[in-house]
Amino acid sequence: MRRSLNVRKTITPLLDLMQTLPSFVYLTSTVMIFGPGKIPALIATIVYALPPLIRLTDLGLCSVNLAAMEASRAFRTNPRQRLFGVQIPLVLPTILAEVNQTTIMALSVVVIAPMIGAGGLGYQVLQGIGRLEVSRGLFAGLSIVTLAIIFDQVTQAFGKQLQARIGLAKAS
Amino acid sequence: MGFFALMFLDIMELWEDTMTTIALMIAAILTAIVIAISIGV
Repeated sequence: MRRSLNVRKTITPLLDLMQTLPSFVYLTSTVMIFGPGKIPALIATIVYALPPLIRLTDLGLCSVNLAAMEASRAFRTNPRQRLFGVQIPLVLPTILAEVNQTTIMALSVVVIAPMIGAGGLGYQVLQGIGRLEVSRGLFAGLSIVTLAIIFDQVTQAFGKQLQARIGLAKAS
Repeated sequence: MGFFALMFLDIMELWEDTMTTIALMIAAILTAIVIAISIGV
């Protein structure tokens, strides 16, 4: 996307559209194509999670320090070496931050996915609402929050370790 | 903390639902990362 202006012009409005659509729309459209089950839920979650990931990867690669790029060119590196040796390591903190955010966003879709028969914790919440079982819905909700906290902690710790390994930050 | 959180999920008898949710999330996130970084680069 960063290399071709035409690709950027094509993808940017698509990403705008994908980010504007509510998550329920993804669920209804995928269930119409694939029928109820886990596969449409998976596809809807992937489609919902894609736009911020693409945007932030592009943004991160655009904001790489020009001096570092110039220095890498001075060493006669080819584009592949520049990408994997300079750009991606420098963009890694941005990519890890976006993975963290996307994980939490994906959880919001996975939680409503039981409406199309995907099962999971959201199903308990739906049952709680449908049968007016407050405790069932409450405990399922608390479990979803717990899961979100676990995912947040795990992705943050993984990011810190990865950055420490490539020398961008100190491991805590 | 993670251990107690998982223990809470098990005590609430929500272990299977939790694993379904986690499986869906991990599959979706990994696929999204592969696709998004390929397009973003």
